Amino acid sequence: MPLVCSTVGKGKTLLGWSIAFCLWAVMGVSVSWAQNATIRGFVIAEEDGESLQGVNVVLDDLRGNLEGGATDGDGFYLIPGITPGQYVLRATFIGFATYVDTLTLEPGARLLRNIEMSSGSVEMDEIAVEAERESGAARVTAGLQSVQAQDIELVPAPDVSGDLVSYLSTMPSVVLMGDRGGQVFIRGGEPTQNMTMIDGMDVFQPFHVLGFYSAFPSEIVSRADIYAGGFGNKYIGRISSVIDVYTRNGNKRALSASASMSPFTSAAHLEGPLLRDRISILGSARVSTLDQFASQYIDAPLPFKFNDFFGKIHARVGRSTQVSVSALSTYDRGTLISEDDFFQRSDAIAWRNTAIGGRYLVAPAALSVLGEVLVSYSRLDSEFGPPGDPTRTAVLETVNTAVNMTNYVGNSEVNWGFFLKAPTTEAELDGLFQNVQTKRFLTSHTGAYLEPEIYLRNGLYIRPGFSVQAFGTADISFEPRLRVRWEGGIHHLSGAAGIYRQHILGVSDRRDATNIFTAWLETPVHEGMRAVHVLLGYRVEPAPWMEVSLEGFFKDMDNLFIGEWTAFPSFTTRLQQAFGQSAGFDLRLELRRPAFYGFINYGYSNTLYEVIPISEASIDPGKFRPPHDRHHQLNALLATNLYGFDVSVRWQFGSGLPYTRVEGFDGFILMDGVVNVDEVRGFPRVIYESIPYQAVLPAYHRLDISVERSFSSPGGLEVTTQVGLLNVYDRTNLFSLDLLTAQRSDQLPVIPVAGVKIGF
Amino acid sequence: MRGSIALLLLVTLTLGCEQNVDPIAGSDFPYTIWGFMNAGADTQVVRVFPIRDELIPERGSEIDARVFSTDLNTGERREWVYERVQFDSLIEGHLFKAPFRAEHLHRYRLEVVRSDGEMSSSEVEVPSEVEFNIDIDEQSVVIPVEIRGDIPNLIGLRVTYHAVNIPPASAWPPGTPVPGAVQLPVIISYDHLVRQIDGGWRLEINMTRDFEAVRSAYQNNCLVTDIDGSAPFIVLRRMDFSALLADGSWDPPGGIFDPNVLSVPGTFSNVENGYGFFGAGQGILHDWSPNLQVAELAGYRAEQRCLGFAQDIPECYDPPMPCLQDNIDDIWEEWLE
Repeated sequence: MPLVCSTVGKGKTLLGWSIAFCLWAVMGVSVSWAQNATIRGFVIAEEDGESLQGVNVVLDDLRGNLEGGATDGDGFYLIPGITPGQYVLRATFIGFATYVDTLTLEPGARLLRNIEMSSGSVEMDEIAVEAERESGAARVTAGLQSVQAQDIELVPAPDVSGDLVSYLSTMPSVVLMGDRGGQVFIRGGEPTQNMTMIDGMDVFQPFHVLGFYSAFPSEIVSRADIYAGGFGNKYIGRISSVIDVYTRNGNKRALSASASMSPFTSAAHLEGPLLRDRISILGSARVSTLDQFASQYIDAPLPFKFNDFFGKIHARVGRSTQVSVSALSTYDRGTLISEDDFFQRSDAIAWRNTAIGGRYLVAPAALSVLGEVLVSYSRLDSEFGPPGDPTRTAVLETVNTAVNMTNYVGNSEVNWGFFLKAPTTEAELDGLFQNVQTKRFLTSHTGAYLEPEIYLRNGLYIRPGFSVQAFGTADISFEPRLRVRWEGGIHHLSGAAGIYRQHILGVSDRRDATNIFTAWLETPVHEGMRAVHVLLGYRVEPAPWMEVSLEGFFKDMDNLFIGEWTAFPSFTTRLQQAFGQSAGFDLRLELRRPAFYGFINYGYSNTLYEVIPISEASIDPGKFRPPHDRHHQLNALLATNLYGFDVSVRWQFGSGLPYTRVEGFDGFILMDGVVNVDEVRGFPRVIYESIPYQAVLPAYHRLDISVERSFSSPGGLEVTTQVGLLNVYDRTNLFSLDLLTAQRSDQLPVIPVAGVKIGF
Repeated sequence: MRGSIALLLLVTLTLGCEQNVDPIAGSDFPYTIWGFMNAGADTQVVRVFPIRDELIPERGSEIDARVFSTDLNTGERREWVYERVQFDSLIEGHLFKAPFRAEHLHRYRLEVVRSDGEMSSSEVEVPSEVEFNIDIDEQSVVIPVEIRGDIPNLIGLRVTYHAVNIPPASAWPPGTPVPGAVQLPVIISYDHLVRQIDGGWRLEINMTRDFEAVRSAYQNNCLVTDIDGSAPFIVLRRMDFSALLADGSWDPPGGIFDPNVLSVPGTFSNVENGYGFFGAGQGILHDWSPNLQVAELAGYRAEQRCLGFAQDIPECYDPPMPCLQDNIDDIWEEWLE
């Protein structure tokens, strides 16, 4: 980033700061701890060589003093500043036998100790210095919820394999438009204000047109960190939320594969060692089969086609270095317009994500540092219009180079890094947004951050940070942020606050829910979109099997851009500047009993927008609810095992979304001179209520059930079968309402599903 | 147990019920009215849209309306005659006409009345008579225009160039099926070029300056105008000047007739209990055929072939409008062959 921007004045400033900081961070920190010992390494599962996150690695000095921590997503741990002497190294993790080793650490020793953990039972005891679970439905820390593959599998879905978006739909802070559309709104933010990444690569529109699926099938997901807000300085360039997906590395010891089939998709995955214990490959492919199977028995149009492919090669180069290359491709095509459309529109939406990237991870022996270098290319192609002859197209692509470093100092760590991106946008909008520039736009986007996490004793961690970013010719922006957590026995408090900026704007015509075409543009205002987040949460574990959390949030958003309401039914509009505020809270309860697992959560959110009218003549509607403002959301999930069958039941409820009612229809003639009204055709006109989104659509609710059972065949095959029922009580949930024709499109009716998955 | 099952069934059925949504809130206004009292016309016309609850009504639908005008100076009341026009498959026009000339400085009230008595109405005053002079000099490309009188609003000042594109056959690859002539009327606005003088307004039509706009319009429509630096193949056939001497009610927000703004219901409206706009004014329309020398002086080509409007050459008396993409496709196909 700063290295490349050095020809620009402000780039030089950024470069200088970055170099100075790098020197301070790398040299200063390491020198001060020169006489103490350090131990570090990676923890993997013996069975398949997969990295294990959340493993407690502690040093016991046999006098009752413990030092250590939990491994990160790469299974990495580092314990710095150890007084020389004799220690017992212990690594514990649920489902694995405890690893124990005895060590003698000399002054200044820098010991590398990679750990392999074998499967087995273990009783967690007092040696745990941090929580043993990384994820959980109520485990929310300052907006962050981690989701693992096993969490995803609990949610009923039309497939044997789960998908990350199914889990997202159970979160109280996430609003989906329904079972189609591929739009995810998080705590008042728009989909284009969410940052979604997989293995460090940007994915701009990752959710498939059919709402049960995304680019993240559970087979490839190791974990996903979902920040509903208040995210740290590492994430620069979006103002609402972050979905950071980490994929598995693939089995390094044995070949493993599976194939599945359901009425909606066919999928396959393959993983195994290319070089045992060194290099592994992981691949996943999924294609929709709606037209072949589901549409044969579902009494609803399913004009959707989608697929996704993912591949990854991961290599352990030496004992402290890892390299991986990942690639992702997704494709969606479909129409959200009902079959009996009054205007007989045949417009279809299509988009394609392409991403490829590499990651280099190193834990150098001489320094208490973990370093990561990311290089990636991401592209999104979108089009809208009659198939084969789209009237609107948009392209967003970016090349990203990023460096992320973590310095370990005692119980604290210093995270810092920088990035350079070269985003390009291009759009052909057919007049949709009449007042924006849509030419090809290539610019530079650079940034750097510093974010230490400091342990202040008594369970208090603070993570203050700041980041700077420079986008094209825009001014450099400084974004201070703070994350705080306190752990006191069963009680946990957490909070976050910060300033966020975004210079790439995704615009879509929110007047029409069936038109999800999104164009990406540079924000019309120089300073970009801005948001301020404030979060405060409390979590308690009154019993080992129960967890309750409450988190409140407030977001202040500025320089948003939304389509202007016009009276022409011509689907063109202009962008108008807006600002908004969103506030609410999430309340969650999670139960983990031997007999069952369940959670129930409730989310309240209130989002209000205001617009700055384009001209003095435009009507100022004052504060109004945007169309994604769902006030109440309730989710409940129950999973249990009955007679060897895994049964999962999920109920979700969402209060009605706002929409604008129509007073009536007439015609418009521009009277700007000698107009012969008997010769001028005029235009049909919609007379909307003057204040938009005053009416509320009916509430959404649905019950889904799935029953699953796995069998092992003598040949070593694992067969999993699933039957289920989606929308059990056949609720007629409304998807969209065409205000021009009063035609409604409904979401999917009751659907029986059955699937099978065969793997080894 | 039975009770529980019955309750469960009841709850399930209730939950599954469809909830109707009525997106049409309905309007208190019965009509939208567009038109103006024209002191320059022998027949007055107004277009009426009933405010309906469907965007496109069934073809041939009737309108429940009667239109009356009252001259508030004389008390004369007239009922206008209904006429329906079908513009295309989607748009039809409900027109009401009355064969009279609006009198200057008279105040009129227009009422559109529904059978149940609901009514939309508007009152306007026709501005005073003016003196209009256009000085067409057969040797000059500059044409002075003066309008003298008490004019509250002068809007819609336009000069229309009715020109024809007649490229030579050599402009196209041999055998290209392109029409011999293509017409493309080009309208130039003079709203910002008019200036106030003592007792009125004045503007100068500059044919040479406007020619550049005409040529650009032709080029933007992919018509052949210049070959090897020769004079453009645009032949001027006719010109007209039009303007509206309007009453004070023609006052759009910000002084700009921006359709994006004015299309918002109620933004530019003087209709009571309804939407739309009904003004008053005097339309001016003056058309003439510039002579060959002046047209050439302005930059147009003298093309004898069509100047006589020869009835035996179809493209001269009825040239087609540009069908650009077809022409381009044909040309490319020719070249590719």
